[in-house]
Amino acid sequence: MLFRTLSLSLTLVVTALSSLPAAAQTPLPLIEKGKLTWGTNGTFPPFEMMQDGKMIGFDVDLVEAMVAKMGLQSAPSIIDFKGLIPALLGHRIDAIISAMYINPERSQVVDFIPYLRIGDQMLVAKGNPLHLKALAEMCGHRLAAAVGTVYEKQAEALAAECEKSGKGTLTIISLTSTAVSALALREGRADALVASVPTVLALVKESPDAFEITGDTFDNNTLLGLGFAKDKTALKDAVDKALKAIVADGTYAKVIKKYGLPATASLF
Amino acid sequence: MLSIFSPQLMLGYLFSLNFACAALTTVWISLASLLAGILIGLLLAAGQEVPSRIVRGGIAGYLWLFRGTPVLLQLVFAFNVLPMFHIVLPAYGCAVLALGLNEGAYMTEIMRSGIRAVGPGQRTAARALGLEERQIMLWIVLPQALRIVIPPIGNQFNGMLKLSALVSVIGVQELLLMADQTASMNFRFLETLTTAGIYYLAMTTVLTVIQAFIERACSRRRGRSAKASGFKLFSPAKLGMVR
Repeated sequence: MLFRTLSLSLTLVVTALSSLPAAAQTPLPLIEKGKLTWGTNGTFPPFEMMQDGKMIGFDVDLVEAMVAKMGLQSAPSIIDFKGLIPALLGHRIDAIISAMYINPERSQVVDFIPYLRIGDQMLVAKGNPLHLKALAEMCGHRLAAAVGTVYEKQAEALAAECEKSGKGTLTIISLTSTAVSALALREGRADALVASVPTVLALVKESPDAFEITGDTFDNNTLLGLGFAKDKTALKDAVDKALKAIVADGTYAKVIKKYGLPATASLF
Repeated sequence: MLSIFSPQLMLGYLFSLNFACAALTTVWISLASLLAGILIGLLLAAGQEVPSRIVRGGIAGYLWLFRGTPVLLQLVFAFNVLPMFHIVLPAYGCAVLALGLNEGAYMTEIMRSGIRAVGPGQRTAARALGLEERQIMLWIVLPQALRIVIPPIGNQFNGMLKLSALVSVIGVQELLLMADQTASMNFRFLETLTTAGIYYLAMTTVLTVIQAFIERACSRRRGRSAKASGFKLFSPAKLGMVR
């Protein structure tokens, strides 16, 4: 009798104790359980790029380190850049991790966790046939940009300026991604494009006989953000925690160094 | 946050210059591609009757290639691969080239069916009247075939208006790209895509009305009886063959 009471109460206590950590850990609002479905453009070196059929890059490594801390699996979803925010708002992806610039318009619909600081630079064809030294000189020439990017907005602002100053019309070639814009530059359909400093450096490294950088870097305090839907604060906080964890243990700095980004890119 | 749908915003887009210009681009690209397609179709359909094996083989090869691959592939090929052979056309040039060649393949088959639908009796009668093969094709067969193929051509034009949306991927400022670009600034996809949809519907509806008008006009000219107009139009006296 005594033994039975003791063993029963022991079982009850053990069960109560073991259920405590489970209660403290509410499941994350993920689209697919156990996986972080993250949307990315897939062709934006060095953040994400295809190599031998696999996607590699700064963002890929960052995600893998973070999901390891969260006990999840990485499930990338490759979407055209302009489709990333609609996909996030339509709950088809959990997060946007595609070197997305944080700006006021996007922050109205997306919650960002800043994770890197970069600047922009102009890329031209090798030999710089038009002797372009700055974006303002592009009036009367052709600028390639991907739809939905900040580069497209810059191009549109520049086009308006060119109209006002009467220096000639800026022709904007609107394409689906920065990689296609680089191809257009290579083929002579465009005279220049703008991308982040790491990207243009990666493009020059990949094809040194096709491209060269020109002019100074600008907008050097642009922040890249991990994007989350506004109603998924629990997920955002969990990822934030994981990010801080990988900063603390040095993984973040290591990935920055691996992809040749300057130390000034680090936000932590 | 923001409302799901803002009618004022949509009406603003509907009557904006941007979208109107983009709609015009859609129409002119569709028209240009269709015209190119019709010309190619007429040429190749007639060419399929030539005795030369090489010509007929070439036409068969062209049909096989352009009906066997997706239009989007042909478009991206024209845009990204041709420059490697030093043929760098501007975006709208690539659009009309790819769409036109693709349309030409389908038009060839449509024209061929139209030509085939003209009864053999017509050709026999024409030959009996002493007309040459070329005259038969030009004056007897093709006019009647063209009337028969008006519905399929109208169908193709309708399809072309919507197929033109594909050229947004190579940067042509048509309706779909305009909708995408506008939405990328404020994320109001419902309003911009609805606006583009309304424009497409308006264009295809106008086209359907025009097609019905053309069909009625052609059938009226054909007349209540074949005797009344058909024979008169193509009478030997009219053709100047009676001495």
